[in-house]
Amino acid sequence: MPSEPSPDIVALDRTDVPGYVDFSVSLSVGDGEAVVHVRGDLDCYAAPQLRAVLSEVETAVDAPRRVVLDVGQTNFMDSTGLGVLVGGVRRLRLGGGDMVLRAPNPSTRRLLEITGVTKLFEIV
Amino acid sequence: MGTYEDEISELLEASHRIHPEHIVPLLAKHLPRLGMEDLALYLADLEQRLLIPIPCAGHPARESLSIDGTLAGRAFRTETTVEGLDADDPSGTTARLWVPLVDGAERLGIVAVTVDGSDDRVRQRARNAATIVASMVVGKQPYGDQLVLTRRRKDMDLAAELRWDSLPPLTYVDDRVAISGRLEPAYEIAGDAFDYAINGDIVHLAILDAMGHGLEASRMANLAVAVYRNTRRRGVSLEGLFTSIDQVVAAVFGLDTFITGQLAALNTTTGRLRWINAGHPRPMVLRGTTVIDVATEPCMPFGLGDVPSSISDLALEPGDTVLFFTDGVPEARSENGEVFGRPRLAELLVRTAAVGDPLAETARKLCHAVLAHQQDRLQDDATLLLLKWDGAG
Repeated sequence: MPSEPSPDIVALDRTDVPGYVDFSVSLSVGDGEAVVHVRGDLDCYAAPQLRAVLSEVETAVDAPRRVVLDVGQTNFMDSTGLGVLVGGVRRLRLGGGDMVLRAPNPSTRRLLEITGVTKLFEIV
Repeated sequence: MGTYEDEISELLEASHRIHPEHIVPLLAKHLPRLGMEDLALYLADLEQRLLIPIPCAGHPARESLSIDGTLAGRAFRTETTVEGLDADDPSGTTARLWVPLVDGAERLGIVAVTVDGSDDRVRQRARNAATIVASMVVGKQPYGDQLVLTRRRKDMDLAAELRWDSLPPLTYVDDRVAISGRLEPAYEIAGDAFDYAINGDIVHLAILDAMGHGLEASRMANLAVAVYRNTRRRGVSLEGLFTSIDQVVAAVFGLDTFITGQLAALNTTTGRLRWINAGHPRPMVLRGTTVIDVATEPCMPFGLGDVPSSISDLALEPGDTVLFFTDGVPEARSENGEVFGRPRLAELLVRTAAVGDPLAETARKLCHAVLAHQQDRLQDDATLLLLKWDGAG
């Protein structure tokens, strides 16, 4: 499992585009719980990566019942990104599981509030 | 030359069976008999920055005219006839008239004609002619592509083509209400949509923003508009409209997709405005020179299986203007990353509306300000929809 990247590695991930941070998703599983770490902007370009990881978790034979999606290192999320979160939690619940959001920053919280989807997620 | 009535009758009769490309030649033949020479017919481009002449073989090619900073543009902006003297005429009686080409309240362009300004009847006659021309342009447009293409300054995305085909006329005005909407980027719109209908004393209105980009967002928006119209035409309540759109979006587009929006109903007799906010930026209400921030409890967007728990309810006063908009407006970013923001939008609404322009011009100015903030390079669709209630009259 990839370990938590240190802040200087985040800095090295920047491309030539000003303000751009490489998007990455990491997964760690244990104790019936999967923790998915998202790093970088969750927009329409990054969304397929997260969707693929969540889909792997959802469909695994030994799928954990609870997924913690850590978005603490995401500063921006667009509607496509939010769609992946919404689809993820709904799919997990259909299979008897659940997903919670960890550490959304103020701008992510605002997006959740404006769109009314706070009622869809437990935030930890 | 027959009487005025004879000439008008002949023009009206001839207008039934013509091809859209023959509108200009037909007018060029008939208008001189009504005292109007040197006809030029312009249509506004989709972004309402230029008046573009309808090209016509055998007629002189003309330059496009800017809507800002020209007499022709002034006629368009103010929706009034603008008159200029012909400098080449020593007698000083020859006048050039720029008459707004308006279908109902929808601004299409400008008709320019040269007349004998000493004849008092000619100004009203030019306005009458413009009324006939406007209904010809709107009526004939679907039968060819020339009029559609005249209004375009570049190729249109497939997603945007789909969306424009499904939009209602951008402006409506009667004694009680005025409605005017703008969508940008005009050639690339995808997920943003609005629709409205006036049935009896109820104005039904919807603004929608389908998530994502491109063709998929455009398809979602179009489907939602079709569901809205279909359900509305069965006389269903606001809650019922919400549920219909919600269910179709979920059934067709799956678990990862949603549309935010607002569904509103204004009673034009009482001024009571009710709306459901489906995860969408809340509207603002301009009363006098103050923007009232209306608190609304959002339900979740369409497609997520929510049940609206509350309907927002507001008693409008005559003259109130409600501004609905999509998130692309407040979140428009300037070159240095500064967002347009609600406070700036509210301030702009107060300042722009104070000028006393027609509502369509207020919408145009607001839209251009949002575009200017981001150097005309939009990251997301931005839609503005104004609804003004003037009282029951």
